[in-house]
Amino acid sequence: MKKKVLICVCLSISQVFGIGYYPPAGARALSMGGSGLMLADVFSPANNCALMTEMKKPGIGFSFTNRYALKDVNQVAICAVLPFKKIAYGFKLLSDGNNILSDRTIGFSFAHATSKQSGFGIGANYHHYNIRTYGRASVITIEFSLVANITNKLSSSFFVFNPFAARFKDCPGEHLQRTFRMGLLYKINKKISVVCEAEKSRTFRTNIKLACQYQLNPKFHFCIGFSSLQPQCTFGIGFKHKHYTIAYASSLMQAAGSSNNLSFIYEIGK
Amino acid sequence: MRSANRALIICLYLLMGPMAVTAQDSELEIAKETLEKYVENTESNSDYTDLSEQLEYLVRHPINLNMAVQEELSRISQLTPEHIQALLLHRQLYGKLTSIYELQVIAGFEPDFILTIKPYINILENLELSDLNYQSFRKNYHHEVAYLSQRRLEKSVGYKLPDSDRNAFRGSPYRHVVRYKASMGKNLSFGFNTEKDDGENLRNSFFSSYLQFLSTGKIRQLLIGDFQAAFGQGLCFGSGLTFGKSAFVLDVMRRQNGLRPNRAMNENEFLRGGGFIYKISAGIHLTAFYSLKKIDATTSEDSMNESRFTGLLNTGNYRNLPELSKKGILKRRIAGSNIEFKSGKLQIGLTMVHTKYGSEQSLDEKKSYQLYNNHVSAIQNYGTDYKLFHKNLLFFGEAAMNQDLKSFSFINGVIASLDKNFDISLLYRNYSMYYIPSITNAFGETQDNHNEKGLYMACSFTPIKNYKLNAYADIYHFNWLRYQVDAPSRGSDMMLELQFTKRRLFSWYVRYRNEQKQKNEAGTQIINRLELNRRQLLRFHLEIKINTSMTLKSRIEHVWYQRQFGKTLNGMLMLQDLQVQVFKNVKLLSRLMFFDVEDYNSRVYAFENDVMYSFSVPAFQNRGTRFYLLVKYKMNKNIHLCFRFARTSYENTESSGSGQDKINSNKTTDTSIQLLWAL
Repeated sequence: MKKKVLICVCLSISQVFGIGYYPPAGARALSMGGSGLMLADVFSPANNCALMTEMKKPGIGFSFTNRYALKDVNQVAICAVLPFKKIAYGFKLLSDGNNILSDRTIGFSFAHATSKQSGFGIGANYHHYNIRTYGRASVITIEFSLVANITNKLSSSFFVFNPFAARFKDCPGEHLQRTFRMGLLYKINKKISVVCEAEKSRTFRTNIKLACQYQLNPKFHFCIGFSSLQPQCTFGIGFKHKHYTIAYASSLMQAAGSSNNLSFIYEIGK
Repeated sequence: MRSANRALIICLYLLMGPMAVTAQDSELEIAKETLEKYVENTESNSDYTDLSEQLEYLVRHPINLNMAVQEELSRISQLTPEHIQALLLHRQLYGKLTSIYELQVIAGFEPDFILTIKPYINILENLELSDLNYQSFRKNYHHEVAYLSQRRLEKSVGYKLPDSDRNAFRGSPYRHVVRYKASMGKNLSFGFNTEKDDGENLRNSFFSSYLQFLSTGKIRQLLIGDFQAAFGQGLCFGSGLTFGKSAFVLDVMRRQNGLRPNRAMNENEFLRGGGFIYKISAGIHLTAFYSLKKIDATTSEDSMNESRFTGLLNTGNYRNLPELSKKGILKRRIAGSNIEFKSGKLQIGLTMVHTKYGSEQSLDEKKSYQLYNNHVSAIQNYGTDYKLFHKNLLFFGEAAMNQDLKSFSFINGVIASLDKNFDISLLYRNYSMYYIPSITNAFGETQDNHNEKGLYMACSFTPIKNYKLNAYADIYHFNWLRYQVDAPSRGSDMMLELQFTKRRLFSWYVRYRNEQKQKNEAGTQIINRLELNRRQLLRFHLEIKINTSMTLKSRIEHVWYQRQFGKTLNGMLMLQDLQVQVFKNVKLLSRLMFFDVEDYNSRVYAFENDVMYSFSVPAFQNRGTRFYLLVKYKMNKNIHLCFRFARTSYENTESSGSGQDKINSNKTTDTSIQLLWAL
């Protein structure tokens, strides 16, 4: 019973925040309507592990999100990527909530570029939920994704989180939801790219995310996006200097207000 | 001058040839891909073996482009009147083709297009049918045997009932299928199929066989055993499976004419007996056939204690006593003939069919919609059909009736190539509610081919290279009541599709479909009033051929079902396919799919790869995921092995199916293994 309540609370939080069941990490993903599926950056272990092979250099990223001016539902994400020629390893640590209600995830992922055009990624995660009044629950999940670079301008990706609907220990019949995501990225030119992503999990309606990124120059980028689950508009800006990148994202949802995110990325090597 | 043009053409295609048509794919594989595309666009789960066989026949007996006349060329569904006209003009100007690659210089024959029709064409002199003799029999002997075993791992309610229960299934949960076919060149072919359905006792297995002779003499074809027959547009008589409205929007004309062996596994939908085609003179052929078959039906006794049938069944399941009691209890005799005249661009056919049932049909007075249904034991059908080529236009049609004039029904259509990038088709049908069909498969919203009139319009437009726009609209009307429709009703169906294809490596399409149809208002009413039900579908499909060994397919689809006096119901589907040629002789095809469907009316369909020569388009409802893995292993040139594992997991229900088929589990797991030996 306790765990059912716990799961219900987790679900309702996701619904209220309009983020779906697989929240994105990093300011750039958040500023693009939450469509992290097609973004290759340090936060790929949390957004789409297959894209880690597109990283040229190892890096580590830190992201902090404040939702609707409520400090109790802040999110912190730490991700790292170690790419080699055709393979890449990733790590993620996500933490939501406070000491009353929290959701913590630690995950490792692996990606392999099978050819210039395609690649896949797999990841394993350990989730730990805690509600002070009711108790704790933990579960291990896996995720799998495919990416295809159809042309120089067009890419597609498919991602499934928790395909076997992992169950909570000691709580038969209760399991984490499967989540399916599909996306397309189209590079209009060197500076402008557009993204379309669809996400579906058991409890939520199909979430359609549309976004556009404008790379003003190698140092600055701007993003805008829209997410349909709980209609919200997003906006973001990023600045890169040498090994460091700092990015800010903001979203506005009519029902609940605005959220803000700040990310730092450090890339190692030239 | 003519030889100079010829030299220029040959130079052109030698230059263009290498970049275009490659012969890497086997022709059967391409033909199978074509059929897959047809099946993929349907929303029904039928036995497509018959259509697969028809395509295979075309592959094994390709049409000679140097000899074929318009009518023969029109059998290839991909060829529009524009293509045919351009090809004939080319032949007239420059003589016979020297290679199929020469087609590239003809307007409309793009390299990709040639690749799609390549399996069905050649430019060699056709090998003539020869006399039967032992030497040629040995030389040209080809045979193929396929064994398939399937099983659903979760047992349904019917298997768990005690043997004393009438509804208990009498057999094992395995389905076994054996297919055998042998042919000697073009002259002689023989085959049989046998099937034991899951739950059936081995004694109740289905068995079907045929023997076919083809010759160049007076008797062109002799067919004994189980067969299909179809003439004209299938309005007077047409058995076998055909496609109706689909994404191939121009393909509304029936192309099969005559007799062909039955290879499908449906226990009821074929003819059993024999038939022949006799050549009266050049261009005039007579076809005659006779069938006597016991079919499944439900019966009741009238006040005079006479047995009457109340309905025909075609499930083909004989698993328990109630199902066995309906097996083959109604005799159906069909005798028919067709005479066909072919002259240049015109083809005319006359058909006459007599059908007699073992008993009369019982008419339930409470069911007003059955008032004009068949309730006599004998039916006469007369029909005449035509096909006419005129420049870029192909006219076709058929008229049919029973003994009285008020049953007069007809269908007329035209396929026109208005420009090399713009084709249209128009089709008008008017099936009288008094018309009592025998076995028909003419174009229509319903399969009954009576009590319907409507206009179908379609176009296919290529505005810019690689892009294609397909659209159709069909408006129809039913003059009399129908099942669950207690008043004359109307409906419409509209589809719009934008396709993009780039050198067979990458393609996508977006499709929108809107169907509106009147039905009785849901719920129990004192007087049923009609409400308009609308079903809309939006689909995005993406297909990427990464390299020669890997293909990815993705699809996202949403269905809205809206009752006029009710709420909107939603259905959605998201799937990802991965097809990998792991080794030279091992191919893996897998799928992961998620579906979330609120109600049966908002169900979603998805084509699935299956074992060889088998196709499935299951419908999904409730919420869950589906996964399948198909392994194709080519042991050597002659032996193929297939294994398939498919599992559906439901998230919002603890059971699936209904009645004796109900499975008390939220999972269904299907396994198949097939062995194919061809020599």
